[in-house]
Order: sequence, then structure tokens, then C-alpha cells
Amino acid sequence: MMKKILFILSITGILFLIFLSQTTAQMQTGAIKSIQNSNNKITIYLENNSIELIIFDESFLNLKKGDTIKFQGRQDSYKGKEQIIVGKIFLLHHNNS
Amino acid sequence: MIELVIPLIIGILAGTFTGLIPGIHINLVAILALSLVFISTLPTTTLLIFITAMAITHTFIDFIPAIFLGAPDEDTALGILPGHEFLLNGQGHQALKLTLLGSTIAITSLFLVVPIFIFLIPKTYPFIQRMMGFLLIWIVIFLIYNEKKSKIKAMLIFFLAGFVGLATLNLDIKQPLLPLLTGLFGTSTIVHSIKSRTIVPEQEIKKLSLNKKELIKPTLATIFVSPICSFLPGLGSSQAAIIGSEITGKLNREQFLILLGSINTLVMSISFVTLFLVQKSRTGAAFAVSQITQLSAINLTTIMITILISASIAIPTSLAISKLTAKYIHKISYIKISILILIFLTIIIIYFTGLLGLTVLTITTFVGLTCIEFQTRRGLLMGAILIPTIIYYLPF
Repeated sequence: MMKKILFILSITGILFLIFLSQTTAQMQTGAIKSIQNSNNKITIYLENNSIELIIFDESFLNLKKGDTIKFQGRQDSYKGKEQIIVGKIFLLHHNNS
Repeated sequence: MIELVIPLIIGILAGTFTGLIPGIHINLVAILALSLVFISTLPTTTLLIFITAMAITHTFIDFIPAIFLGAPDEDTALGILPGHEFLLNGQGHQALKLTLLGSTIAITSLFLVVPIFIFLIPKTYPFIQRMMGFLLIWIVIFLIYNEKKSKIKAMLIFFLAGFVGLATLNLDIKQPLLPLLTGLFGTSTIVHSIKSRTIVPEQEIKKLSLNKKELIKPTLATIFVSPICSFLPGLGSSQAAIIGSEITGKLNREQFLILLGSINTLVMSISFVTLFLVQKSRTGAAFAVSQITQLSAINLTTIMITILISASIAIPTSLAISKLTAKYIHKISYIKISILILIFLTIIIIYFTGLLGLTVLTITTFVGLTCIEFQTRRGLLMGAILIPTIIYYLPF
């Protein structure tokens, strides 16, 4: 009986966590001031924003300075600096200049 | 000279403290230490010595709460069952001595393993990296296939942990591993201990009697498995111990504790060599080092000497703390200690990760308790890290 109750609680809890992970993090937008590429990660600095965006996926390499992006991620801090570990990122406008 | 001795002593003291705090893993401590602003102002060598001394001491000390309080971190989680058996037979101090013996074997083996590792890894790593996702899948199949009781239950627990890991890592919380691993391995065990109304008998403090032949199997398993698990992401000491015990054949509970002690220390030590060779950090301590500097051969030599000195101080320290704990543990209410630890862990989680972290802790405690009730291996709960890692490494 105990096994079944715990199993059901686990499943329900996981579904609740999945729901939370899809709804809690809000999408933000910003224009790219500069991009740094190092050690399998990309660091993006935004205009008018001191928070760094960290991306661990090399498929975003085609982003460039001046592009406007929409992103969602987990807040983190490293050596006193605020960072966002990016989970989702979309390109809104390409900088054509 | 003094600028080398001070970080060593502070590192050993910090490792002793963090090792004694139930449920707190060295990965978290190393990462938290790095987030302190003043750290970035210290010289590189000072930081390297501090982090190495803290990490190595932690691997010796962290079996004390695992054995005496049933409150492990993920590296000592598998030590709970044999360790707890020893404790309930009045031999908790003996159990700790076995893990220390293992750690000593690890430090001795280090000087045999490192040259082989330095020769082989640069030649094989590019291939291994391409195959990483598939290698991890193979290891998962191996772990589930070797579950003695029920393979279906093992698979269920592994995927349950995997989903909870995926969901947690996608949440907007700092330090998501803290509530994730504390719930799966720490609080679930403590709740189970409270529920079982464990009474700890008076502990015997006697010399360790062990046949030298009994050391062969755990030593071989350590030498073969630790290097592999040191560069495969998502695999900790617990998984290495399961693989090692399968490779060498059946181990008795004494040998298993020796193996856990040795793998715990060797995986940590080799992770610095892995960082030097392929610039990949597989432990929190190695990650912390990677954030400080790009390791040179001189840095690595400093780290190796620090490992030796820290180990030689951590052994008598662990023995003294264990002896003291063994002397008084039966006089204290085990249930009261467990409740206090539970409250302490909950406060830590709320402080670092907020209410969202508390939600994760509650749900992962249910998953951990399900694993205990299903009587499957606790190591399968590492699916919480392995499944997200496999998804990351698969090429599609």
C-alpha cells in the first residue's frame, strides 16, 4: 500500500514540476551588445542590461552583435556576477547593418 | 612557505566541516566557495591548495554522517546499507575504518593510475567524446540489467529519477542540484530511518581484523573503474562501485565499503588529472579549479602533493571523530538527531533555493522513498543526472 502511495505521489510531483518548469520562467527580450565564445560556451552581453547570458549549445553560433533575441533561462551567480543559463532562445530581428 | 601551509590547513578544516554536515556534497561546497567575491582576489596557488585540501578531506570525512546518521551525499549513498548494518551491530567505527582503508588504497593507487591515465586519455578521448551519449546508455543498461531483485522496478526508478532531474534542471532556481540530490539521497533516507524507529546499540571500538587477500578485489576494481568514471559525466562514485563490484565478482560487505572509500577518493583525485589532460571538469572541485586557472604541469604537481598531505592528515582526523561519535552515539536519541538533521537540511534548501527548491526537495524525497520501498539500488536514482547528461551528449 505504502509503495503505491509513494509511487503515485512521485508521479504527481514530477508532473507538477514539469508544469512549473514550463510556466515559472518568463521570456525576456534584449539586443546583443557583444558575444564571446570560449570553452564550449557562449557568453552574450546585452545592451542596457548587466546580466550575462550563458549558452552551452554551439548551434547558436550564428547570432551576432545587434541581433534582438527573446530568451528564457535559470538565474545563477558566478564570482559575484549575475548570469542567466539560457534554456530557450529565439531570434526576433537580425541586425542587417 | 606560510602562504602554502595556511590554505592547506584552512582547506582541511573546511573539508572536515563540510564532510560532517549531513547530505551536503563537495560539488556544492566548491561551487559555493567560488561564488564568494573575495576568492577572486587570492593567488592561484593558494586557491588550488585550498580547494584540493578541502575536496580530499571531504572524501575521507563524509562517510561519518553516512554511517552514523544514515545521512549520505550521492557519493556515499550506497555506503548507507552496509554501513548501517555495521552500526546496528555495534560496529559503526569498524565500517568507517574500512572506508578509510579504501581511501588509503586510493591514494597509493593514484601514483600507479596517473601515468597510465596520462598516456591513454589524450589518445582515446576524442573517440570517447563522440561516443559519450552511447557509452552512458550502455552503462545505464548495465546498471539496470545487474539489478538482482526486479529489473522492471529498477527501470521504473531510473526513469522516475530521470524525469525529476529533467524537470528540476529546467526550473528557474539557483543550485538545482542541492534540493534534487538532497531529496533523492539524504532526506528520503532520514525519513525512512525515523519511520523504522532505529535504535543504535553501544558501539565497539576495536582493531580492524581483515585478511590481506580481501583487499585484492576492491583494489583491482578501484584501479580499473575509477579512471573511467572520472571522465564520464554523470557517473559518480556510487555507480563506479556498482560497476567495479560487477567486474571483480561478488564482494562481501567489508570489501564493498573498502571499494566505496577508495573510489570516492580516487575519482576526486583523478578528476584533476582529467581537467589537466582534456580540460573537462567531472567533479565540483575540478570545476572550481577550472574557473580559477588553466592547469599547468606545475599546478597539477602542486595538487598531487596537496592530495598526499591532506590525506595523511585527514586519516587520523576521521579516526578521531569517528571514535568520539561511536563512543556517544548510543546515548543520544537517534530519532531526535534524524529530526534535527531533517530540519537543518530543509532550512539550508529554503535559504539557497527558496520555496521552489523546497517543492523539489519534497517531490525528490517521495522518489527516494519509492526507491527504498521498491528495494532497488539507490545508485539508480543517479538517473536524475544521467538522463539529462545523455540527452545533452546524444548527437540528435
